[in-house]
Amino acid sequence: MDKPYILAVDDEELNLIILAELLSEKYELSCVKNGLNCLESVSERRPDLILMDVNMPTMNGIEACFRLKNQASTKTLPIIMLSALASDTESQSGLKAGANAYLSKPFKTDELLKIIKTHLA
Amino acid sequence: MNYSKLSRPTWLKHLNQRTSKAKTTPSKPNPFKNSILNKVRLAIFLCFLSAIICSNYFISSSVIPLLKDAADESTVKSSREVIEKIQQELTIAKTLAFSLATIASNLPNDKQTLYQLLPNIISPEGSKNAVVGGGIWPEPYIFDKQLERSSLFWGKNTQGELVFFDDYNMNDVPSYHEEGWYVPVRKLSANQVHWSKSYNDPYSHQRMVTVSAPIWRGTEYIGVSTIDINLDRILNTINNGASLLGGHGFLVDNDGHFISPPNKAIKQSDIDLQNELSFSILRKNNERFMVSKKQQKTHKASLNTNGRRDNIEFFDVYNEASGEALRIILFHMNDTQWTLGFITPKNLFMTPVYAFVKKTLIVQALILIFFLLIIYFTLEKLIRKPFFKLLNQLENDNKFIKYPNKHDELSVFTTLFNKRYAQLKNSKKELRENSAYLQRALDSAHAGTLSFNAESQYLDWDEKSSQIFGVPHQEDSNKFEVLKQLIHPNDLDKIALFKGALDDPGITDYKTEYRICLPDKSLRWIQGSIKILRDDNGKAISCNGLHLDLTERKTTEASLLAKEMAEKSNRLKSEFLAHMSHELRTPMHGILSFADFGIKKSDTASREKLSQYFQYIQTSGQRLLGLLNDLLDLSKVEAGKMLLHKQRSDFNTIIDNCCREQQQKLIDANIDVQITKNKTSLHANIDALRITQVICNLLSNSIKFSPDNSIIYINTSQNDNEQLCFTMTNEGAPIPANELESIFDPFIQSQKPPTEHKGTGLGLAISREFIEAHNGKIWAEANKKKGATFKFLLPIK
Repeated sequence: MDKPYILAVDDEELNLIILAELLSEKYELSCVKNGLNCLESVSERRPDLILMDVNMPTMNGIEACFRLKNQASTKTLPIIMLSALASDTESQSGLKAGANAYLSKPFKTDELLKIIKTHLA
Repeated sequence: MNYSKLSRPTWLKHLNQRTSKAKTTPSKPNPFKNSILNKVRLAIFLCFLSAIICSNYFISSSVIPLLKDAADESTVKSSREVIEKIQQELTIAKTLAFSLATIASNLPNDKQTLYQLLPNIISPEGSKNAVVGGGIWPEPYIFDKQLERSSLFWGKNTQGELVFFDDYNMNDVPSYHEEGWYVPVRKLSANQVHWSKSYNDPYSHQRMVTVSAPIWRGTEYIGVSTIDINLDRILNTINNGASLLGGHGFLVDNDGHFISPPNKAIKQSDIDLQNELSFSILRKNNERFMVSKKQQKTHKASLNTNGRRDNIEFFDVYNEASGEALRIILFHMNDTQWTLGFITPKNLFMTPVYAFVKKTLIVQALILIFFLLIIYFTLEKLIRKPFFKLLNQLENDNKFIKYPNKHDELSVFTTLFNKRYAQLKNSKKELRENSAYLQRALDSAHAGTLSFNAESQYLDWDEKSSQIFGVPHQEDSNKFEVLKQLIHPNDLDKIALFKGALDDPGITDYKTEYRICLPDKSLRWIQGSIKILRDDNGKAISCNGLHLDLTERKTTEASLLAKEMAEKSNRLKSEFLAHMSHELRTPMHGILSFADFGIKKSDTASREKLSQYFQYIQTSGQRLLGLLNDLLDLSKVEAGKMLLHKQRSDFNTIIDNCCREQQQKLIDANIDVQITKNKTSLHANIDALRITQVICNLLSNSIKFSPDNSIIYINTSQNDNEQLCFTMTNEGAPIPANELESIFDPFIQSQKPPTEHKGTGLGLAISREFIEAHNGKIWAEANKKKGATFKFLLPIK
């Protein structure tokens, strides 16, 4: 059985390295640096789950999430928002855009793994 | 509500005062000119006058000549009667002369028969005519072969008896013969007679005239028959006629001698004849007849009476001696070639004419005056009295007016007036209400009114305005100087601005806000809202407007502004903290995650892997430290606690150091730096460490935003103001115009950086703080096509 395919979106290289370190064993991981690249990547190959940063140049995570959730083919695609913005309003707007879960950085690695598992099941 | 007790609104009073002053004083009324009644009276009087003049003209131009003609007709008629009487006498004499001639021609040489016959023919029994004698005068040797000369003549003696005498052959009779007729008669035919000149008969001493007829037997001339007539009867007829006409009469014979001289009342010396008229007959008589130089022939009438044509002439003459106007009428008698004349004073004819005209005029005037009076009294009763009744009511009483008659025009006028008065009353009431309302509105708005005359520069305002300005109110005084003294010195230019607005024809509404200093040194904000009234050329005439006390509003505005500022600063602070949290979390996340991996994988992971984890932890930690240092710098500057260590340093050296520091980054991106230095060394008194930080910051930014294989240009120079000029231009994405200023705010980055470049977001904010701490200036400029330019100026000393 193939590994589930996860798309990580973040403009901060360090964050992507952390995700790769954490997930590359169990999952097939692909990384892009902003929302627009994410949409392109999704259209090329549909991931099983998306890990999305919020604050990114060119297109932020909220907008990318909103677009994906409003597209029939990607409507059911689970999206987990990961952001350094810790306030409630940020998490609210992420969830409003259709995100399935919201984690603020720094997060506990176990927690992320647990959430990913839940949404891939 | 009792409106009459309402005080007149101050703003209204104020406005009215200004307008009433502008009125010019009316010219003195002319009581006659302004009175309709007087004009009507004048019109009636002029009608009366023109009626009189017209009728007078009509009478003098049409009626007087007619009357004159009638008078002339009457004169001619009277004169003709005289002529007819004279003609009658002359006809008798002529007939007798013919009779004698006929008898003499038919009874030849029979003296006895003639003696018996002739006296009876000359003066029959009971005849009462003018004939006083007559007879036959035969040619020599015709009647009596022995006698050369003889006469068969009968004349009346002093007793009136007819006596025969032959003055040629009798010795006891007067030997007088008027024989002037003899020669002319020989040339006459049988039916013709000759009239002699008048003469004084030597026997009877009577004035006489003789008519002679020739006696023809076949073609043989055998003698003359004569009839003498006494002129006294004729002269009496003339004098009677003259006295009937009221003047004098005269008769002139065919030789121009007076048969009957004018009455003695006319002196010979008065008679003056200087003209060529038919008075020639008089001149022939060597008489001087009166004719003034003004004499004129009035007309010549040819009247046909009893089958005879008589030539009649009229003359108006003027007696210069007596100053009397006279009229002369001349009748020319065809048979005898005599001229009968009458002289009458002209007045005699004209007096009744003038009397008639005068009477007519008087009657006319009386009738006109009568009608005039009727018109006048009608006017008085029907128009003036009711009119003045209404006027008096209006003058004495300002309420409704009354008029008794219900149907005429004045009653309609009264009704309409009362209606209008009622409307006016209502309007007044409404106006009062509105005024009161407006005044209340003005009072509640704490607004005062003002008026300004642009020409005379006269400023006036109401009591409320004085209260606002905190000065005692003075009626009717120019308050322009007061305003100049009250206005805050920094706001004096507002007066000049207002005057400028007055000169701009496009401005009709003007608003200004200014401060005034109250006597207690406190400030008050005033708003002036002004409406400018302009003439057709756009020149300002006057202004009216309101004063509003803005102090309270300004205070509120200031506190609102302060509140807003505080809120903004609060918001910025929150935003800053949020950014801070975000910026701190990223390296923190790295440290915690890799530490976590290290712990979890310490047994399983390779040595290299663990070393890599520690490296990541170190990088993140350094990044966190840099961020904290930046924050510390910024907070120091903002708290004013930053100390500059200024010393004389070479600016160009600092730039070189920075380039060297960023060497690796430049090589990685293959970016070239071109430095243009106007001077080899550029010394200034600066904190070299801080300025290095600034330039490194700018260079690091430029590298971040420049595409690979591009050039960064740096230019240094010194300007005339003793300042260092630094310019750095890159070829990256241009900065949007609206971000040129905000990029210097903390945590703000341009929206269009390449994704891989991300700084702390504090670099430009800190740079600005450092430059400004040096009393310099830093800013960014947008390039049109690509790249951004950052510039700063630093004082050298």
